[in-house]
Amino acid sequence: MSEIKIVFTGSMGAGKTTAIAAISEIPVISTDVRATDADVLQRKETTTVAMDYGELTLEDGQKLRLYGTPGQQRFEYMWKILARGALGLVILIDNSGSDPIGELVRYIDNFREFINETSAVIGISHMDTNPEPDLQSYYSYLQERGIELPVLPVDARSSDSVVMLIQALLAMLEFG
Amino acid sequence: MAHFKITTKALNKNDDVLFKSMLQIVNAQLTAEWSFHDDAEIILVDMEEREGQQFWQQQQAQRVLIAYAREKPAEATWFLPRPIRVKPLIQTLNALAAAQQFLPTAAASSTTTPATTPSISSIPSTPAIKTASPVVSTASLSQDAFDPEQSLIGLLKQAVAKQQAMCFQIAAATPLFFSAKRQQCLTAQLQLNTLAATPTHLYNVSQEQIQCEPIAETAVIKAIAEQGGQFYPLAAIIWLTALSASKGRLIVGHLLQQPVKLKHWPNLAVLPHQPHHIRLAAFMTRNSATLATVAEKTQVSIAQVVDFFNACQLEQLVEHTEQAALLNKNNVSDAKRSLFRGILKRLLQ
Ligand SMILES: Nc1nc2c(ncn2[C@@H]2O[C@H](COP(=O)(O)OP(=O)(O)OP(=O)(O)O)[C@@H](O)[C@H]2O)c(=O)[nH]1
Ligand SMILES: [Mg+2]
Repeated sequence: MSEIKIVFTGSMGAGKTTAIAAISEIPVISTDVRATDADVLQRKETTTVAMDYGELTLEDGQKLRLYGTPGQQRFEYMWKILARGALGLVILIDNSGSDPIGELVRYIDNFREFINETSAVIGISHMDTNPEPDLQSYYSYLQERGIELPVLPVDARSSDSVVMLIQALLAMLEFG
Repeated sequence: MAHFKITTKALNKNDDVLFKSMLQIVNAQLTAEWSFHDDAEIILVDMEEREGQQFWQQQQAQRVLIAYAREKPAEATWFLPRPIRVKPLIQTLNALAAAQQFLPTAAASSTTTPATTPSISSIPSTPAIKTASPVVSTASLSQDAFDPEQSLIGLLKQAVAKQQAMCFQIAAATPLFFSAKRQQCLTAQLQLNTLAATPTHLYNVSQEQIQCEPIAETAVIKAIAEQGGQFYPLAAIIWLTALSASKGRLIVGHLLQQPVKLKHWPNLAVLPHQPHHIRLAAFMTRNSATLATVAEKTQVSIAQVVDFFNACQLEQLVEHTEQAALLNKNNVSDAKRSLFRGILKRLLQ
């Protein structure tokens, strides 16, 4: 086993950079730039253009690497590069976006092969401010497509919440 | 009160008369009503008489036989020492009555009991009783099923139905308030790990032990101001109670042998949980299996699997399937498993 990594992907502003920062033991290395697109600017000041990187040191000295993909569509080519060889995928979806379920579809389609070979967990962020769509709507979509992945509310600012997602991912990898 | 008929076989005249009169004498001290009838199903057999031994051989499979002798014969489940005395007679008849009520078909008679069988009072656990296993297991299952209505859940449901704010409490522990207006509960922070280590608490006792008192909605608000605490969705309290009060007993109306699957993950962001629940959710959303198989594949104890299943059932997450369907998950190497453990350990530090 060469590099041990988990990849965070998902919609713009969903909290990928924040989630990695919440659990990484080093300050997150980010390629965030000041947002220039009007669309991004409306929502936040910076956006990731290449990747985020954080890490955790395991008891035996090995490093668990945490990568975040850029959220904007124009950087899609980075997604697969980052996911290659990863243990599993954390998909974060911003529930306050205009079409969060549509966003989820996009990520699932994009990573379908990877998910089939490994596994994934879906975290829905910003549910505190935007409770709709609810979890059931996400599950209904997934069930129609025969996808049995966990969908859990997450607050990327809380490490407990992010840890919960990774626990679910590890359980899926081992038992799911 | 249950009524039992008893007769004798091969007793000499003296003993027979003595037994009949003793039966009358002790009657007030018996837990059931006993009367003497020639055609009774329960029979006291003199094992020191040839006739008695022969009768025992022929009838031991069909009738409930009590051996009457100086020494307890190895093959006897029920035994009355010779000569007949009041105290042993009361003990034997009461123990037998208890076992008969437990085993309505009375099949538990005369299978071999090891010579080491200690005393009458331990009879319900002797091998002789176990041979009647179909009866025993259904009896103990229904007796031991988890009935949510008998726990805090039943009281909460009544409060919801009546639209009445309530305060629930046991002893001097932190109360749980139910606000009908908000359809939420209020209490101090709930820690499943702490609760699991506490022998009795509001969430694992039966209803009779819970003091419940109607209160005004404003009292709930006042309680927050005075005592702090936080609001929990009703579902979280029901979930927590099911996990705590089940104690490994399957919820009423379910069969252990039925393969089951979860429709989707429980919302663990809201529902209190421990690490093994996450494992169970991962397995049970992907595989359809009996609870015994779930326990085996996830290495979680069957009691904990049952508790989790009950909570999922109340959350309406359970799907019953005709047949078990297991994904072939052999590709997880030991190295991977130990890596996952390592990551988990680091994360939960
Ligand atoms: N209210 C609320 N805010 C959240 C939640 N999760 C994350 N945030 C905030 O949302 C913002 C997310 O920003 P980022 O972490 O930069 O998101 P990102 O996914 O890295 O975005 P891109 O790099 O642009 O794709 C941050 O300000 C977080 O503090 C949540 O559940 N609720
Ligand atoms: Mg980012």
